[in-house]
Formats: sequence, C-alpha cells, structure tokens
Amino acid sequence: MTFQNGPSDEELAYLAKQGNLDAFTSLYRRYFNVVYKRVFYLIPEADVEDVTQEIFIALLRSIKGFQGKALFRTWFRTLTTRQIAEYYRSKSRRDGNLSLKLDAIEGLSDHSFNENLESRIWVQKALNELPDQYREIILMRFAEELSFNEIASLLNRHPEGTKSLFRRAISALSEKLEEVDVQKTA
Amino acid sequence: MSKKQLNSETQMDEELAAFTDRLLSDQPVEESGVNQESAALEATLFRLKATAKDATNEVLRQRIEKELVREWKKDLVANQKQESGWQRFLPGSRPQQSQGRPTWALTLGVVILALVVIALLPAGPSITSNMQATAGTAGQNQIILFGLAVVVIIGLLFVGRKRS
Repeated sequence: MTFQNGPSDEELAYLAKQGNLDAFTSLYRRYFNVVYKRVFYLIPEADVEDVTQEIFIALLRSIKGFQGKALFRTWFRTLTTRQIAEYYRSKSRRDGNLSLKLDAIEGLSDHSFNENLESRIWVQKALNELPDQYREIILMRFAEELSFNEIASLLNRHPEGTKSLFRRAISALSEKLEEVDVQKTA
Repeated sequence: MSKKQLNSETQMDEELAAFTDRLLSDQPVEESGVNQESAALEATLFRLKATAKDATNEVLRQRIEKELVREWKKDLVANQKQESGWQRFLPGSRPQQSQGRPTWALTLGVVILALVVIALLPAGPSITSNMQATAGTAGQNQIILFGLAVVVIIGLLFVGRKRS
C-alpha cells in the first residue's frame, strides 16, 4: 500500500513534530489499516483493539524523536514491532507463558466460525515462531500490502532475492502449520 | 547448485510471487497442483489471506482518533504547565521549538549572563580597586575584559550554530 498523493509521510511527521495536530491525524489515517492488520496477524483477537491504540499513543509520545534518518514507514514499523514485543513480554509476566490459548473459542456454537478462529490462532502462533526476517517479509506483503518491488527497495535487495526470501518464509510457515496440524490430530 | 536447478528455483519464486499478487488483488486463482510442495505453499497463502480478511474496523478507527486528539491536547496542556518562566522568556527554548537546535537557548543564556557580568564588573569596588592596583588603569582592564567577553560570545554563537 503506497501513499502517493499529498505531502510525504516524512513531511507530515516533521509537521507533527512541530505540534501540528492535523499532520499527526493525517499520518494516523494513513497508517491505521496497516497497523491494525499487522496487529491482527500477531495478537489474540481480544487484545487487538487495545494494542492498536497503544501503538498510536506510543507514536504520539515519540514522534518528536523522529529525526528523518530512516523513512517514516521503517521507523514506525520498528516502533510497532517493539510495542507488540512489549505486549508479549507483559503477557508472559502476567500469564507465566507465551503460548496462545484456545480458551477463547470454547463455548461458541457456530462450528465454521470456530474453525476460522482456530485457524487464525494457529497462524498467529506459527507467525510468531518464525525468524524475524521471514515474519517481516510476510507481514510487509500481507499486512502492509507492499508490492515485491517496494519490499525489495525497502530491504535493499534485488526483486529476485526478495521473492526468493518470500518463498522461503512461506515454506517455513507452511512447515510450522503442518507441525501444528500434527499436534492437533495427535 | 546446478544452473538448471537454479533456474527452476527462480521460476518457483516467480510463480509463487505472481500467485500471491493475484490472490491479494482478488483476481481468480487456481491452485497449480504442480507438485506437493507448491500445493502446500499455496494453501498457506490462502490461510494467510483468510486470517486478516475482516481486518478493517471503521468504528475503531474513529474511536482511536478521538482518543488520540484527547491525548494530544492533554500533553499540550501538561507541556505548557511544565514551562518555567525563563523558558517562556527565551525564544527557542520551548521543547517543540528547540527540536534540532538544543544549544541555541543555552548559548543565548550564556550571552545574556556574560553581558550582565560585563556591565556589572566596573561598578564592583573590590574588583576595580584590585585592577587599579595590579594593572595601573581601570580603563585598560575593562577593554581587555570586554574584548575577552566578545571572543567568548562569538565562540559560543559559532558552536551553537554549528550544532544546530
């Protein structure tokens, strides 16, 4: 997903740094779906809304630290990843382990809905267990909806190398999901 | 890896990327079924897409936007309360204005302090009497002192500009 009209992200970030609320709101509107989707892929559904809000509050608090050394998109992705990691750290402290629980789907009557939700939970678990670079390239394509050429440019890679990395990432995810299916049937 | 194998790998990368593009742009896709590996990867892509197919929430977007505006205004009020008198007095020393030029306020503060010291020095009886005793005339000492202060001020201004 690219934003070609109007001021660039960096220009908006600079104005927001100067205290311009409209610029900050524009950035928020540009990035809401991207962040919400990324969180949706990685966080249990019950917490998606809270974590999405926390990420944007964190942006509001740290926008003054944006110096323009990296693209805003890259800087904000790092901030988002840090917030998601913080969510899992605090969850781990609270619950004592990192495993995703299936309690949420118990007691629901719609079978197909249960299957979808269960599938989503296992995909989340598998994604969270992938090496960082595999998880990132999958989320850049699926959550941020960046084209392979855009991803290649952001990662400083050749498009061919990017597609190769993507296939390896999907292959690793596929293996993780197979492991999960085996666990479920065992 | 042989050249033939490499070509085959590259072709598989391209095919999977093209399949993903079609899938995400909601174009009709058919599972290739070329081999078991391709089928497994394509099935994974279908699951990935299905995972976030409902990931849009306009009500939430508006709710968070209102919350952010509220937080922004709250922060603004808190920042204004934290500003002390000298911060209000000195231009460029307020947090939002001083981004990227943090030494400017400091430089200005030192310059003002130096000017005050210069203005007060000749009036101090103990200092002027010492100067008269050691250097002969107060006028010469004041000129030297003033020259020294000018050099310090220019130096500080130069440093401040360079850093900003």
